[in-house]
Amino acid sequence: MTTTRETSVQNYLAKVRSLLADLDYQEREEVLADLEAHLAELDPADPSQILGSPEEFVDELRATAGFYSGSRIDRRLRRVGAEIRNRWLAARPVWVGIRGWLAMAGLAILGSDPVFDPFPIPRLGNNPLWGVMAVVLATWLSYRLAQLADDGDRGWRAMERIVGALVAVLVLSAAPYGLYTEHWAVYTASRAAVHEREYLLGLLPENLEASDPQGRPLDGVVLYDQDGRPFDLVWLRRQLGVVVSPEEVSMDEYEPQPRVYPLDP
Amino acid sequence: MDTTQLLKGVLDAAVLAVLDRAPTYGYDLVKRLREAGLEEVGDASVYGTLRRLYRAGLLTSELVPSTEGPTRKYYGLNRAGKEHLEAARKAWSEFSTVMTRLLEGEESE
Repeated sequence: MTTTRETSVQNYLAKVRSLLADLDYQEREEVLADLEAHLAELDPADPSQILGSPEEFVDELRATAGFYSGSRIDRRLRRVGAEIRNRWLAARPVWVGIRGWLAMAGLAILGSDPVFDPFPIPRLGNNPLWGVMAVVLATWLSYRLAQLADDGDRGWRAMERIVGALVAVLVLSAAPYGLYTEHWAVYTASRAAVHEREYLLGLLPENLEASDPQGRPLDGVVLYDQDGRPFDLVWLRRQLGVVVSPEEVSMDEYEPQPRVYPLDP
Repeated sequence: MDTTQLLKGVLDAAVLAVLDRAPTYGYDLVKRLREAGLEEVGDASVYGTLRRLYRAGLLTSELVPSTEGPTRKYYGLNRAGKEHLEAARKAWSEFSTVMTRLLEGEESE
């Protein structure tokens, strides 16, 4: 059960926290941790009676700590800026974790032919294995860069900002292709075409042999379809995108004479 | 006489001097300063001074569990802090000599 004394202390801390909202998150939390420990030692019924009002306490603290203590509007603006910065810092681990994958997905989208799978594993060179390896490497590099930047080196911090900007540009450039209709439609249509082609290839005979009623092979037999076109397996397979071997082509080199079906007597 | 303004100029040196004897935490530091005669020192001033000196790289800090309450953050002097204190001692010695001479009406040599 929370006592009045505890409530009074918590309210005091909350007020101080809000008055220091323009400070860097870590600095503010250090100050509040010090103050909380101090109040625990004092154990006051009302902190304001010992420390003065939260406003007085913060004014005195700002003056001696060298914290910014400009006009109210300035402080409010700085508070908004600090809030954005703090939210960004809270979200940073997520960004560090996904930016490597985002970069690889962006590269896969921009560099791939229409038949690709950018999500969840980007294909690099249309190869998912390369994609997995690239994502693992990029994620490791992302964490390493964050570690170096967190160590406080200005050069690495600048490098991290540049990398972040490049990834953002890459993602923004790739997003229309990855998300919007045209490219996605091409992708979907290509997928459908691939499935149709695979279906037709499954139906298509790979070879046809003519034989007499005794089963002896007949040479020089030419087959025609119902429209009088020579039945050319090589041509058909080429139309479906199959790479036909030279041996198969040499077997099909002769030129059949066009006839009209049903055959003229 | 209101010594608040005087205190502002010497609080850094006073805090460093207490921490030079032994690392301690904020509440104890305030108590020691007051026991030493700086009754008017404000709690917020001490914590503000600690934060500024810490940011300036003059102090160490260490969290130490306490049997009597919450974990305490002990502040202590590092090498830069000790050098800063030594410079403050010298400056204060010269300054106080001059002020004593002025206030007691002695002529400078």
